[in-house]
Amino acid sequence: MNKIAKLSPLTLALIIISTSVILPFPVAADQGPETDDLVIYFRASVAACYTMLTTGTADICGYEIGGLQYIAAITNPNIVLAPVVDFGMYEVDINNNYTIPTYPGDRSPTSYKQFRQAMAFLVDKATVISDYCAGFAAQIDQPIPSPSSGWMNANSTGANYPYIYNPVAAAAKLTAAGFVEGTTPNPDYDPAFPGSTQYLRIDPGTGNDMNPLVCYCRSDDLRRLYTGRMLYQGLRKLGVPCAVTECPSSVSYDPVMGDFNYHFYTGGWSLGRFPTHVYNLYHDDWYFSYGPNYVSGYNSTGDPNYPELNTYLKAVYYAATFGEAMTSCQDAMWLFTDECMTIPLWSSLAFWAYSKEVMGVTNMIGAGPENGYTFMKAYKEDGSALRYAIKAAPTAMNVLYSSWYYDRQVEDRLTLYGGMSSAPYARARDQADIVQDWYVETWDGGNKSKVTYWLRKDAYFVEPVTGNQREHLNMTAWLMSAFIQYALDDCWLASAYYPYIDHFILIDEDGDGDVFDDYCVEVYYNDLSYWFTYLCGGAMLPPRIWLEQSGPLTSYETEEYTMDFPDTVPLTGEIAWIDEVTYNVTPLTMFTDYNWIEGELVISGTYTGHNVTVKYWKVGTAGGYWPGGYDFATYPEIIEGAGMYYLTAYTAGIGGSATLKRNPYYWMETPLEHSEVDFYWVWGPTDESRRIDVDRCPRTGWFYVDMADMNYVKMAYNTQGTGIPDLFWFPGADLAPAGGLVDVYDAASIVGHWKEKFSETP
Amino acid sequence: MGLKSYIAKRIVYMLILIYLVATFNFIIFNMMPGTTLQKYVANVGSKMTPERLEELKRHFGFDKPLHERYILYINNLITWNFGTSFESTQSVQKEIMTALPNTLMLMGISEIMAMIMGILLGVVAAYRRGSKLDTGLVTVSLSTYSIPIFWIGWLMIAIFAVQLGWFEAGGFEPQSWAVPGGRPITILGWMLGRLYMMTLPAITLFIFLFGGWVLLTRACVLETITEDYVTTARAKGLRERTVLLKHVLKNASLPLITSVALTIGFLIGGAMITETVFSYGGMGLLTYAAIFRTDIPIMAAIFYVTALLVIVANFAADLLYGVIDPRIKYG
Repeated sequence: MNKIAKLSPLTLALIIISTSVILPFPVAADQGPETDDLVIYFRASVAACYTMLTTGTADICGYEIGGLQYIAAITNPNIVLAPVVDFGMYEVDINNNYTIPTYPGDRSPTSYKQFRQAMAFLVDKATVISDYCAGFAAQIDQPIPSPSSGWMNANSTGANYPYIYNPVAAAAKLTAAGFVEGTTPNPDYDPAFPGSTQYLRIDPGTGNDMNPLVCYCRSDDLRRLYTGRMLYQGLRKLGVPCAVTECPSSVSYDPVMGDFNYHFYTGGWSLGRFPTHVYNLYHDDWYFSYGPNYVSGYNSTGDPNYPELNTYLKAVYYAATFGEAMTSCQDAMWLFTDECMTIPLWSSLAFWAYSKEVMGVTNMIGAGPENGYTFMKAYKEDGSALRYAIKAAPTAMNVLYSSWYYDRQVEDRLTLYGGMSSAPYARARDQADIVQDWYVETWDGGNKSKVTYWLRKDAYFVEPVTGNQREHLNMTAWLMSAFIQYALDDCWLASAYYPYIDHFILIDEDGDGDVFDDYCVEVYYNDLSYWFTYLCGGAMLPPRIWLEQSGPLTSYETEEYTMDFPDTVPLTGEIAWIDEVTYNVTPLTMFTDYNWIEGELVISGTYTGHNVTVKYWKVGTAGGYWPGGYDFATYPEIIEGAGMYYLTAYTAGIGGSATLKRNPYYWMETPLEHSEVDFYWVWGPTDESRRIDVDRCPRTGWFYVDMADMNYVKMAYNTQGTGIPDLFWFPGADLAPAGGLVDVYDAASIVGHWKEKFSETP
Repeated sequence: MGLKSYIAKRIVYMLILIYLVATFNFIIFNMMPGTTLQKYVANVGSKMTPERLEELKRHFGFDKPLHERYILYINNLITWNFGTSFESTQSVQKEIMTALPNTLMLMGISEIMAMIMGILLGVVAAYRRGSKLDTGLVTVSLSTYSIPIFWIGWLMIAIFAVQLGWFEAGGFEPQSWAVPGGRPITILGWMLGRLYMMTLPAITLFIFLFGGWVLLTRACVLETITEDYVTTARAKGLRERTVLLKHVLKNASLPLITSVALTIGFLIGGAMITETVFSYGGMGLLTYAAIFRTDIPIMAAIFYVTALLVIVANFAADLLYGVIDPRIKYG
């Protein structure tokens, strides 16, 4: 153990004070990341990335390491481990529907509440976590990822979870539901297993021996396979026959998701930062073949099983405020647990590995070290390039199609996505980013949402290869990026939010104009949901790129109409973006003289019987070459973004790499050296120069080195990430050289920058 | 039947076989449960709607009857149109043409080296049958041929990359090329860099492959080395090398030619495991990634092209049989 770390608090305080006076801390006023160069290597596996780490040819292994690597890493003094609980959720999905196709007409056992409760009693979550997940998991009792525990209902989780492992209670529940012992011997009878029955149970619906439960256990994930086995073996011992299929997802997909022809299935989801997924996964709206909800089902009369739960679930998504959503979610979770719709199991705990030589790794809550703050702050003492190894190659590097994780591992460094608190340090709370501030309200008598967005005025696009500064990232670029991506059905953004595209509109409510200046706009949505706030976004690209380099994406059209206005202009195609609208020869102003509603042009003024000429880009067939496109060598000019780095070289495929250079025009200032642990945004006073009306005025803000940062150092003080990571080890608090240990230098680093701000709004 | 008639007949057979392979390819990918839509539904996650699902079905042609899809598929194969990758949305030809040169270089070098060394050593082992050299060669060949290739790969990495640090652990371009200004400007520099990166995977493949050639050649040569015509050749006073290479090996080479023909298919298909262990972006890794990501157009194209090449190579081998062994009559 480091001797310095053992010093008494008094000595520690003295050292901190004296060190802060003695040590020269340069105040960084530069913009962009701390490191000048970043190279991302594409490899074929985590093992290959980890080998690069051990051979000193990579600095960060860009994926959570496996069990074998973990065992090797804890004996390697040069490797630091960063723990993270991810935003995923595993559960035993139970078919709550009244019947299943294999046994048409018969009431399904899993449609009985007590039967489902019995199943829950048979899952020993402690064993699942410790043995099947080897401890690399955090238990959950409601279908919400562990990092979002604030959304759970505390009255039915943890010690309050009503179905803690108890086979005897399970047997009692089965009997209470009418599934009593029959006369056929149970081949799985096990006298050593509490509650085990000598005879198979009778189905109360038919009066005969139970039909075997149709069970699917995913064999491509051993954790799920063993959990499934625990459940069906327990059921069998309790006299419930099971017909089991242990298979990969390709086999279970059709019967489970398509046909709902199953009783239980070991499922798992990767989820977002807010648990709006509970609406999609369990509400009746989404219960259809191959839909996301294959659980809730209908009752004997064909009505949804859980109308009350549906109300709460819907209210999670269609909430006017954040607080309302959270309350509705908690209410829903209470009912969910009571009905025992599924058996929530765990969120994965994983470790990321990086070299001790790397300083400034920031492990964002729920995301781990791979986040924008790490790539802003991480550096090596010798100033050499930061080397990041990822376990696959980007397939497209194309913002239209790249939803693949490995594409985004490169693209996220080059391009800004969305921009409104898209990756806050603590993902459950919002903070400013490229959107300086936003104001959420309602319109249409409180029935619909409306958001005013203010952009920062200091964000620029930057050229690839040369790094030359280009135009501002202003509201036109922001809106055009969002509109074009939503306009294209096969763009991943539009696909992902397909149901909500209709909700995304720009209209002029009162005719006084919605765009207040180049950096402020109000967006009207035609339904009520706080979560629409995040929909207006996408990959931010300059309009020049969208319109000039788009190839077959759009076609430029000039169309003339003689008609009475106000009315909708019957354009020949869907609008990707409007270039110009003129009345005779007089240009009309967007959002004042005309609006653009759900892909249609509406002239709001009165121009009877005169010619109106519309020049616009029409949605065509998506394709062509796009930023980061495969044809980088041929089309370098279009790989252009406003991200923290720009691309200088790219070799596609496994074994290839992307070479990136620091963007000196990035909106965010270089984090003060050896400071800022939490990257929490601090709101400042309002910017009166940008006030719109009494209610709407954006706040200023900045990052700040303060007590919150010191608290992280205090919490993690004297802990290390080499070897088996200490319980309170917190990589982000390891600021100063001599990595892998949070010590006095780290505390002194913070003191040295005490109360200093950076990235303040302009 | 003359040679021309034989070739014409074989071409007809070959076309029928290609058609059957294409049909089989169509059937297996259509029988795979869930695959195509599953991938998209998984991507879209919890936001899938019935409308979107119908749209996806239309997009992929699943709204068309099976026979229409089949005709379209055959037509696309004839026109060498493999469609676009689900994952990258790039044309499949392009994906293949990016990976193929890497594989041809790696597999070409290692296969040719293994073949030459294996056949020569196989002949020597057979010639010295029962000797310590024979026993040693057979033992080594059996050992290298039996060891899982990924294990050989990992040993190579552990020794030459991790311990000795002589080579990089993976990739097909040296890491120094990724640094601005690091990419070589001469062809020689480029070749040396690529050879450097190919060394470990090529040796791995060589170690694995050469044992097979040694054993096969030894067995073939042993069958012919005791034939009367070999004794006659010796009795005529021919040099031993001439006897071995001209009389023995030539007559023993028919199974070897068949094996070479089959190897061509593997050559194009790439060495999936070796390429994965060494993060070497070739056809093997492309196949692996396509399977992993359920990228059916790529899988279908690779399977089809590989089968096609094996069929063509077998056809060429059949013709070669006659050249090497005049006793073989076409017909």
